[in-house]
Amino acid sequence: MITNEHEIIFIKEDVQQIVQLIGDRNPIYQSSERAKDFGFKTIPLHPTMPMLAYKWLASAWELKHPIIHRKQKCIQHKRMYIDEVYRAIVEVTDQFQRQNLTFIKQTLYLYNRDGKLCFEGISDLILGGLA
Amino acid sequence: MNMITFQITEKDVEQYAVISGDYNPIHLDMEAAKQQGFTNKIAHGMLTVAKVLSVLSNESLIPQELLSQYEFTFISPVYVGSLVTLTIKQAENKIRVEGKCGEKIVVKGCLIVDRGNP
Repeated sequence: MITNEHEIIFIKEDVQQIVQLIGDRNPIYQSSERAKDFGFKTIPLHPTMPMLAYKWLASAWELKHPIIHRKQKCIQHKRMYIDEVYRAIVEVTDQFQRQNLTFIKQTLYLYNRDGKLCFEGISDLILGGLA
Repeated sequence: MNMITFQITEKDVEQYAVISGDYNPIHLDMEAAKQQGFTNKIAHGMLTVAKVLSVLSNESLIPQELLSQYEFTFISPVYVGSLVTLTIKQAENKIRVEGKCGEKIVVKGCLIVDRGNP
């Protein structure tokens, strides 16, 4: 199962919300000017931020409760930045059933405008079902 | 080896639900959590990961370094309000972490540091 493509843009406020919540003091997330001081073209995304793309994605399937997160693997192939357009796709693979629970691997892919893969987020989930 | 303790508070979980759009009731509703066999509301897995990465960013990395790859296994639930003691082992560009709540291992992770140019 795979979703259609969705366009995602992360903005400065998204980065600042997450770094304030988790207490990350890296100055590159504070402002474009500070990011430029360290050689970045603008504010880069925090490494956990690409997973927040799920907030804006309309999935073609429903994950039924309970939803338990077993494992998470994330690979950032390229630095990602605020105010850039990314194309997001989600795919479900490796689905199997054990007793009353459904096990799946759900992968979020984010591509840049040139079609280059920037991020993969592979989530191993246990669900009440998949519809 | 380095050891650092952090806490995941109820407010952290509530704010992360808003930021992520993940309102799974096991994170926010005590009764829903108990129905699934937990003794309390549990933290989002990605919130725990984000807190671990924040600790590493603050304690072990320089601003330009990117945690370009990370893999975490959520072994036991991290209950809201828990203190997580993180053991950090770093060898060249690879970092291994293990988080414990009390004596119980709750999370294990492996991370790769990219020291390349931004």
